[in-house]
Amino acid sequence: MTAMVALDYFAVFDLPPAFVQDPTELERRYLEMQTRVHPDRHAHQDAAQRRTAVEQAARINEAYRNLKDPLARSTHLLALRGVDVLSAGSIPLPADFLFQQMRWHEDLEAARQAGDQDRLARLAESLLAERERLVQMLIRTLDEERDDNAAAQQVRQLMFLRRLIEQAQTAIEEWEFS
Amino acid sequence: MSLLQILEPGAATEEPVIRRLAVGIDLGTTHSLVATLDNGQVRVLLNEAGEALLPSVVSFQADGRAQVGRAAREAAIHNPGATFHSIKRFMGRGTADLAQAGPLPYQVVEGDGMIRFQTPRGPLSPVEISAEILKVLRVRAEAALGGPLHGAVITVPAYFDDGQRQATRDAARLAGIEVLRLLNEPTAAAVAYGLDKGSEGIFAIYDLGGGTFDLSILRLRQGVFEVLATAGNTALGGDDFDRRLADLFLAETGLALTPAAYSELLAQARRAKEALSTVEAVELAFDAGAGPRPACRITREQFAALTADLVQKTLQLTRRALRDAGFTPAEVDGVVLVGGASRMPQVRAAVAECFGKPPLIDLDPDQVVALGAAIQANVLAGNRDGEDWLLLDVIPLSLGIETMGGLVEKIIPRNSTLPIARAQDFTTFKDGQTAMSLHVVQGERDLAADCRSLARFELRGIPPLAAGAARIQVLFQVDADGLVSVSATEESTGTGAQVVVKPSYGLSDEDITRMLADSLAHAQDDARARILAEQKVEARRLIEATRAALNADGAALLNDAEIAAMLQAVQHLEDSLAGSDGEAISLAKSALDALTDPFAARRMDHNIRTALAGRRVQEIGG
Repeated sequence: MTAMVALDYFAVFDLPPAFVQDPTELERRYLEMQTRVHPDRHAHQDAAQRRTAVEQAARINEAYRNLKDPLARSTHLLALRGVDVLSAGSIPLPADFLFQQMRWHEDLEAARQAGDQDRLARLAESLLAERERLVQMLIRTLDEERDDNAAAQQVRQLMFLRRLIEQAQTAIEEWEFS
Repeated sequence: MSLLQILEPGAATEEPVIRRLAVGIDLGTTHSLVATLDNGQVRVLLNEAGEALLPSVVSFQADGRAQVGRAAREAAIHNPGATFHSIKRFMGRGTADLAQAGPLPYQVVEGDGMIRFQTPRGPLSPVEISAEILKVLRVRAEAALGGPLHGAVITVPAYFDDGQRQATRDAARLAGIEVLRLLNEPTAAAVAYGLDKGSEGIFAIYDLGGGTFDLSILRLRQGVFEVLATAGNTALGGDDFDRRLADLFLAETGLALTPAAYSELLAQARRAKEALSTVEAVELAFDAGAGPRPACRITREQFAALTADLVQKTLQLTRRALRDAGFTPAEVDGVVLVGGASRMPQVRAAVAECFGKPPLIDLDPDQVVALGAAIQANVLAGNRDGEDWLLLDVIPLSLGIETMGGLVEKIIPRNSTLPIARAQDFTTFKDGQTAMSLHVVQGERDLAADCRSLARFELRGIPPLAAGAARIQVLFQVDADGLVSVSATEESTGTGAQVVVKPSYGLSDEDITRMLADSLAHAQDDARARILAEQKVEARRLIEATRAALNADGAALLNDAEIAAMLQAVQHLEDSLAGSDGEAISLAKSALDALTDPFAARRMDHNIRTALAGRRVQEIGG
């Protein structure tokens, strides 16, 4: 709810709220802040100071985690703009995407059943390519056109993709472990 | 006009630096070590016999006294049922986990699901048994460093879950050790290597210990050690390789052994395994007593084939960790080997092949973890010697909540950086529902039943609303030790339930307090016994010295009455030594001291005069 949106993760690192971020700069700021607040730096101080250090370090970790990953970053950016991507059903998905998603699922299931590693690898590759395409679209919709509704749709598609990629990787792993 | 700058009184003078005594402890499955850092040098602390490795073996004698280490290992032959090896495997585990441990020579006490073994001291948990090992290390450290410990960093396998971490911390508390941090073993190894080499890059730490396997991917740069991913198996280690050898032996010889004899065979198998690291073939033999001595010959090649699947399992986990971290084996700059079991040639070869480069073996794989822990302990104690680095570690296993249908909703995915605070909203399932029970689990599987249960708790007093209208926020917190706490709040009314996650098979705070009180009572007895023993030793020394002095100078310096009085005092003290009355010994010793002190003064005088006389003669002669 509102509690989740109240904290601006971009502000934590003193960065402008935008989708495109320089990963090197983000990381530099993260490490610099963590170096100062981490509980290990306050281990010999009193209990209250140590507790504060844990809270601060956890907050910075949470902010970094949300900004580092394109999906989490776009979700957070939209939340700051008042669009809740997480409440399912409120954002309709294009029919062709739903159709494509079904095909991917069937493809994954068939490859998994057959233990076809090449097919699984090809599928994982095309899923990653699709993810990259969506990220490029988000740069335009979020930062250039500021079309939050279109962006929300793309973010929802990214969420589906992430689950599929995870499933494909699990299938590859299962085969390796058997 | 310019203002004069005046220093605050005393500001320019250096404050005396108080060094807090801090150590790193590697509480291992097969052996344990303690190390410290002083004068910028990190070193492992040795016992009186000059040994660094303390076998993690605890044996309880009939009177309940614990023997630890080599003595306990030797006692195992006569006392297998009360001698505990590899106790780390049972830390934070329940009786349900015992099945996979194989045949055990111990008697398990049935109870609340928590493991307790029958010992001459009564039923003891793995935590209490581990505390005996830690006590020995604490005493060793305090003797070597000359004072009470400020605290210790204790290492745990990266893959330890919350229950296993809590158990380790509780064992340290029972041993009277302040835990500065629970540090993951591979991270500790990386610290030892990283500081030694000042290197930057991606490192893989392959840690095959006695009972556990961990693989961690770390990045070292800008003074930050960042754990990117970790994978492992807490029930895979060198012991499994021993068991393969023992089972091969049983298959070839057709012997059937009692659990006690089997554990002796395992010890033989371990020696054979260690020998195979340096020789091409060994003979594994077993003394069955009077009859023939069955033996079988095993080559290094056979051993490698026999254990290929175990090595393969470690490589699968290696690949998973690499994938989680987003790297290929070729991108890894260095591979560090940790744990005695990583000395096996087939392991080294497999690791080298997997990464396409030979592993680093500069530091003793048995010591590297304790060395790294000592370096970190020094930092946490506030004794920083100019080093400026930071460890960012991760949670090894995902944390989640059981939802409808026994499924797990993951709240914190594995490999999230510590510390962590994350909130998740849940809602009610039925109209008017006023209570909600929450089951916190840790693991990667989809079904809660397949994950490790951490805790169950109930949130009551939810306002009766329509299904799905209440908002219950569950806050998960994981501190820098990887320990979990969970709290829940109903957001519209603020109804709260604070729950510190107590592992399902852990000790309660009351348990710990009671055990500490018990051990303090024991400690007082122990202290009294030690004082008495010391008194007796000192008294005997005095008796010896008095007799020697009387023989040398008694006739020349004392009259008959003085000699008789002194002999009487000696006899009196000897009589008191037969008993155990410390007070009586002390009185008799004082009485003798009163007589010998003036005698000693006279002897000193006499000796000086003799010496001067001698010199004068020489001077005259020269």
